[in-house]
Amino acid sequence: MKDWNSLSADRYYDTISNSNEVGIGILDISRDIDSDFVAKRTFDITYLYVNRMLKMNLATYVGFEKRVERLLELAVDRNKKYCMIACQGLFLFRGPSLLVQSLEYAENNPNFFVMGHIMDKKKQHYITEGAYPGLHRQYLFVNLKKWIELGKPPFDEMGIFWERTPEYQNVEFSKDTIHSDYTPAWIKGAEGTSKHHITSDGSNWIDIAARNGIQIDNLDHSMRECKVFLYPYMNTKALETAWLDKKNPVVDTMDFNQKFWLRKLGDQEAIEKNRVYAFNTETLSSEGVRTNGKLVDYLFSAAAGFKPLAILNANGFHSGTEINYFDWCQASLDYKKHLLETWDGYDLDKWLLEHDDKYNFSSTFKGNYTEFWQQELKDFGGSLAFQRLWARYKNLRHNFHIIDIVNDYDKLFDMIDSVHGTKVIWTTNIWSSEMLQWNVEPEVLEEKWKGFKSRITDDLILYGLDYCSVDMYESIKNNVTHVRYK
Amino acid sequence: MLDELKKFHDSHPNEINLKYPDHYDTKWVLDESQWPCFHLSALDNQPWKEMHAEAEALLDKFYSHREHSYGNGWKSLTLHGLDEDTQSLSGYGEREETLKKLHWTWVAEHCPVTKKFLTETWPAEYLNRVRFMLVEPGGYILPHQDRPDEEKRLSVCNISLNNPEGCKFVFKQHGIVPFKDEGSAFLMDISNPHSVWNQSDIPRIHMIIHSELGRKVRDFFYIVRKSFYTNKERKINEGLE
Repeated sequence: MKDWNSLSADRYYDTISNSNEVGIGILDISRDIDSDFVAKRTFDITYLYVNRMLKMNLATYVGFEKRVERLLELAVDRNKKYCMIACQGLFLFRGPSLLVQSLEYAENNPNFFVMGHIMDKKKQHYITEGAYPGLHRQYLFVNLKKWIELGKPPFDEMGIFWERTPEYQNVEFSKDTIHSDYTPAWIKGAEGTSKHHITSDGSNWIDIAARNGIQIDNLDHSMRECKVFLYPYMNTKALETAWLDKKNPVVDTMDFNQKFWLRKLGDQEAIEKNRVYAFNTETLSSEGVRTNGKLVDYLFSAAAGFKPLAILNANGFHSGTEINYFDWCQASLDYKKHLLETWDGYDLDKWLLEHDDKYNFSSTFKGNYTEFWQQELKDFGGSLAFQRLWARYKNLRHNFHIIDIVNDYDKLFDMIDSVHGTKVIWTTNIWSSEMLQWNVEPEVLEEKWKGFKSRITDDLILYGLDYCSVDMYESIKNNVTHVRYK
Repeated sequence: MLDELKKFHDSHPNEINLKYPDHYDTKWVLDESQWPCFHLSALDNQPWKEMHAEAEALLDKFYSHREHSYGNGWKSLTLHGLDEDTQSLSGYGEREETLKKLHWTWVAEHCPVTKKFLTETWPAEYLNRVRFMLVEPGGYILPHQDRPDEEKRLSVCNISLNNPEGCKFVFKQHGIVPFKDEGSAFLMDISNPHSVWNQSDIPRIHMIIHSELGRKVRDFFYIVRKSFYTNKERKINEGLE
């Protein structure tokens, strides 16, 4: 299973073809979240995963709004064919896969209206027992053409009617359910109508679809596995407590999804403390040459994969070039040192297998070393080219430094400022890693980033991304900032 | 009659003091708490004074209310209903048909701030009967209950657009509703016997809203939840909890 631990786009997703036909909107449910902190942070993280899809040019962000129909209008304004609605608190951690699957669904069902979580719970809320079925507001994938054809119906919130009971089309459910008895695989119209005292979110869409002979399908298992909904309006105080304190016993009292996600993050946080990245998730040479023909004298580099080698190869280096590796993780530095001391540049997959127990290699690559190694060789121009480059590289002077560049960047810059020549820094996606973005809100990260940025001098050549996952040059030039919550 | 009124009010000299549980639960608050009233403090910053001025400007248009049964100096003026003097909707024949005929009366056109509050802020999809309720100086409403004992729940909203010193709304066995003179909204459980006595020399004007939540359930829940925590915090700050 791939690791999805950064906001940055993934080098291994280059093959996804897309025509950016999807608008993505975030549904504002802050009214229902009894904590300003949880409301704000769930928005931040929902946007984090949306943003990754934007960076891959898979979709266009249309906004953060309280009404579904408003988001749909915004997507129509941007000439999109489909609109993906992600509720505040929905984390599309495998969003690209979900989007690809959704587009496949759209292609196979050209007349679909909406795909979403069909709820026949009869009890969506404790005050709405016995409700007409609806669609859970956490996630909707809407065919905008059909929505327009149907008269642009608003997406109704759940309702209680004592006297003015709406009359809705009777419906028929699939016998198959997706994961509980209240989640049928599909729903469609049946004979007759009846009045309902209680309705669910999106009941009117079910009714409209049923009246127009349109079947609504649920998300299948594969789609469901691409996302998690944190239900931020449930156990909100506990969620607030456990947001940073992921091992707090209060997690045990939470809803299944909340528990799953916080435990996953807690485990990941523990793993990251000594995680080693043998390969890079970002493209090796996309930024190209940046030293304007000058050979690199000093490279300050994160200790991950072969990107430092690729930067030196692209810009050129000499026998006196000095590499200074920095990382907050001792294991990454140890690995790098070990590799330089013992590996000859051939059959990295075998070397990794041999040392598989010694290092906590990223699970993205674990078990697939040969495949990733072959791709690496391809990127470097073949085995011989790589080996020659490695032989030169390993003979350079390599220094290793434990530095947390987010919180202790002065230590790094003091070192950079103390040398003269052609200086290059590569910070990879440290600033936009998932763990950092979960633990530190963007406003605080921005301040830290500004501090880091203030130490960058004109003669330092930059590779890497800022806290919004924007190339550092672009970030500095355009004063990039993050999308604000409200 | 006045003896009965005096006895009722004298036996409830204190303001209602609700005991707030640690955890909030909408269903509990509305249906199970047995609370006679609940302050919608989330609405405290509404333009009550402007609304009061709008109602006060129409004082000579009010209609006497229950004058021959249990009211004295009790008057009403309907903003939303069948006409400006709309009585209980169940008294107009087929209920479903009556509901279809409800509309803004001319009163609402003279009260734009009040109408704006009712259309944009009040968390209900449908309005039934909405009235200004006046109790003249010295006026009163004798103890009565509007619903049977077994229908205990917070429902109708009573908003004080003013509540002069000396005017008290009392719930039997509970005490005085802490309406504010500067304006305050309360959900009321009118299955409890209650009475009003305006022993001031200023007309007391409230607004009573009957409505149907419809698709604004979550908006309503939000107001109730926010009010719960605000009320609880105030009680703690005042040393009452």
